[in-house]
Amino acid sequence: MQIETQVNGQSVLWDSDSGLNVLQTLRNQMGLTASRYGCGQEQCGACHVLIDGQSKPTCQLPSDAMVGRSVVTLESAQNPELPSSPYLSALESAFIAEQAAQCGYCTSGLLISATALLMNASGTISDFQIREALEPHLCRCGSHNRVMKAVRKAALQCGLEVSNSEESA
Amino acid sequence: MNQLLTPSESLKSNPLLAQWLRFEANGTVTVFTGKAELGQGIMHALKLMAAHELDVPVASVQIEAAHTKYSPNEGMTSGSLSVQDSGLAIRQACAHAAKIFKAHGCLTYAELYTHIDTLLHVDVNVPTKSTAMNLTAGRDDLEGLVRGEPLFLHDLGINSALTPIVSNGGQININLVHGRMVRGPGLWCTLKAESWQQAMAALPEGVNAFRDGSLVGVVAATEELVEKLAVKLERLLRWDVKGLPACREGGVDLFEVAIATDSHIFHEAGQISAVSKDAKVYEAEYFRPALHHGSMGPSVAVAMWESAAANSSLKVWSHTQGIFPLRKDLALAFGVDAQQIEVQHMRGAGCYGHNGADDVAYDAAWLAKHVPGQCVRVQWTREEEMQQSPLSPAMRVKLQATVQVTASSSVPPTFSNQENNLAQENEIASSRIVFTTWQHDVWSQGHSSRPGRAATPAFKDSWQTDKNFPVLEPINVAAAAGAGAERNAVPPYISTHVKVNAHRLLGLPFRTSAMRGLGAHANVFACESFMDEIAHDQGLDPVAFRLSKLEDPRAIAVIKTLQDQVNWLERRQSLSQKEGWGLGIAYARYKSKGAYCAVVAEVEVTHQVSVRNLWVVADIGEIIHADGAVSQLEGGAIQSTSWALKEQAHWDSKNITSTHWEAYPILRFSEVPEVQVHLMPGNSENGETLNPPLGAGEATQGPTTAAVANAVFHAVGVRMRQLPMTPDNLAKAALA
Repeated sequence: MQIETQVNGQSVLWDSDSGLNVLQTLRNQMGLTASRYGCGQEQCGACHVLIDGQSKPTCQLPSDAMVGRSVVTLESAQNPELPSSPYLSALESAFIAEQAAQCGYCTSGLLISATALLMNASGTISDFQIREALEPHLCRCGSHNRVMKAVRKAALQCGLEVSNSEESA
Repeated sequence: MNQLLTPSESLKSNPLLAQWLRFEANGTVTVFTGKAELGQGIMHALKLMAAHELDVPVASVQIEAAHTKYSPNEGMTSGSLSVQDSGLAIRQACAHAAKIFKAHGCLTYAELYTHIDTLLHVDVNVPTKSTAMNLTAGRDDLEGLVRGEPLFLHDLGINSALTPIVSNGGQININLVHGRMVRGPGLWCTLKAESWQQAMAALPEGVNAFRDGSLVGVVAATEELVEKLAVKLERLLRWDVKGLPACREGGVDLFEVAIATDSHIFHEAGQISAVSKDAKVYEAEYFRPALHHGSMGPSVAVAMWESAAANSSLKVWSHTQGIFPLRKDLALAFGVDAQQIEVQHMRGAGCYGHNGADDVAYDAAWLAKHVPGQCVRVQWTREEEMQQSPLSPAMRVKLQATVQVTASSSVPPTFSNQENNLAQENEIASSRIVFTTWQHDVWSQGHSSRPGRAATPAFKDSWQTDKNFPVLEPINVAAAAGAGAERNAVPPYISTHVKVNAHRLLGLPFRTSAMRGLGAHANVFACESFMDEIAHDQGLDPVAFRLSKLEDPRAIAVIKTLQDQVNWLERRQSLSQKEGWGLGIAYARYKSKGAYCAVVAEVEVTHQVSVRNLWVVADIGEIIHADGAVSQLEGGAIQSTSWALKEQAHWDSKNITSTHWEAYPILRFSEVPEVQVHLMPGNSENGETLNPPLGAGEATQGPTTAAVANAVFHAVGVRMRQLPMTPDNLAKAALA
């Protein structure tokens, strides 16, 4: 049986009985390799994509759970019509400006969670909220502070206010 | 400027200009290097050096990823040496090329193609330029990374329509097949042969399952099929498991269970003088547990044998640190000539030492040998990465020092003003203390199990086959190469007599190897904690005490700069009023001959340790790419904070059990300190390069951990001699 799902704004048909998880389907079937395999146990954040606008891990998520859902990966930046694209583009530019990566393996997942944060925020976001959004993501190279800076920069670019409060709202 | 430098080691072994540079018909320049991009941004730094020396835009320089067919053999990408080795070779080759360019009155570098003989040796006497002008451009590979482009070996060929595999200069479309290893329930297992026969009878015919001795693996058309097949076979097979020594607190008891110890005097200098009555002897022991590399992407490799013939070629794609050493050991493992093997480097996730990259390359080549003509991709799981790749060994350090208080100070009094008085009192008091002996004993397994160094292969899985390759005991490289467990065991501080004893633990079942800093992490943690303990006991300021025991002006300048940056005395005093907060300092010159680095840590201690701020000052000599160096120092400091606070490998009676991120937690965003990095100037005011460049990648590892431990003591008076500084270890130390 096939299920219909949206990937980066396009309708696609996935085999529902393939036994694949969403990450494997994206990478191996569709060639969308920006989402990465890091642990296979939803513990590191490397495989996050947007599912209906929320940042979610995909390495244990069965593909057939995606029926009628909208999946957005890093490759979506090429589709300007998606509501997430302006945020993702601003974040990508800010990551480059702040040189906010070393090996870059965890970068896709970070960008996805930061995109979800910015597109679902209104008014002001705080450092605490940025940290909270990035908490599921591990980075072994130690680029955390540059990533924080880049997300703040992109938030301003997207018309949000940024407070340096580390207190929860 | 002129040559401050002796010719790079890489240039000695790869002396031809054509080994480093190729001038293209379109006027661009191709640079060759044997060093590997590990996430540290080295490719960018090398490009900057070439572009600057040739005086061309960075965009007209391209750099080739390391490949055994055409790259200079530069051994390993390790030890923070890539700028010294590869960079200085490329710079010299470029200086020579630029001289030829001028001599022939060329208009574009394309013309050089005809003027450079392929056998021309790089002239090491051509002066090179200064980098006084800042090379500030950002890493040009980051754009592709943030766009999620398929730049990693992990992405290679998994959708062949998108990323055809490039071989022999041309593109060939090969569908990958996928391989997986099937492992027993322990770190060291012997397959029960009868269970293999039974399993083969139980599996459908035509299944690609292979075995050599106790090494078992499967190949299938897709990743999901191969995973299923591996699980099925794993359930059917039976193994004998070799027991592991009981693990207490990260392996503190390993030193008692080691079968043998290879002890030697690593260093001895000075004279032992008679001990006077008022001398005080200090002694303390420090422990660092075994650590995991914890790279974000488990290791992966792709391999293909052209045919089943004995002289078949083998092509391997790997994110190894050393393509030539890997090729050498693959040749040993498969009994073929190294010339039959081609190894191409492709980037993997961040690499901090000898992780699973070489081992998985062997796995892929072994499986591919069973299916000649097919390209086999082996992706290790997270569990395999944590269990099968080498560990950074547990280390114990014992320090003993004799301290003599002398009546007179070597510091002449210069009464200037009130403000300086405290600082000067500290200086005078510190200079009255003299170390008459300093003894450093370090116990550890060896810090290298790398390929390319023995007569038999270094891959763990190759030891499981019926070829009976011996299990290799981890070694420590020679002192000239920076040493292993002994790295930074010689103190930087003046003592009348210094002795370092190294005790290599033998016969333990853990394969240990190089990870960022090797022994420097534990040795600097111990030495700098010990200095702090003695300063405290003598009622001395730890900064002034260190300064009074150092001679090297660059070391002194680094510490003084840091002291000013953090406003040391004032900040420490004001933190004393703030409950649970503390400030600590540590210093080391990496490998005793590399980058100088001092770190101050500000911590808040409750039931746990939180690191709030780190200040780093480093002298890395000539600065090639300032932001890249800052990024490496900052990243290293954060990684070291993670090691210091959280990390400890563990195991049960059969296998390593720290196999996922809940069992082996590392620092998360909410726990990361603010980090400020300051680089000492690499050039004088008139643009002269002051000192040769030194790698920055490993300099912060030791000082950061030690600064945190010293800050904890300042905060709550608890001396953390056992890492990691978890709530449990903190509570234990508080009661000690």
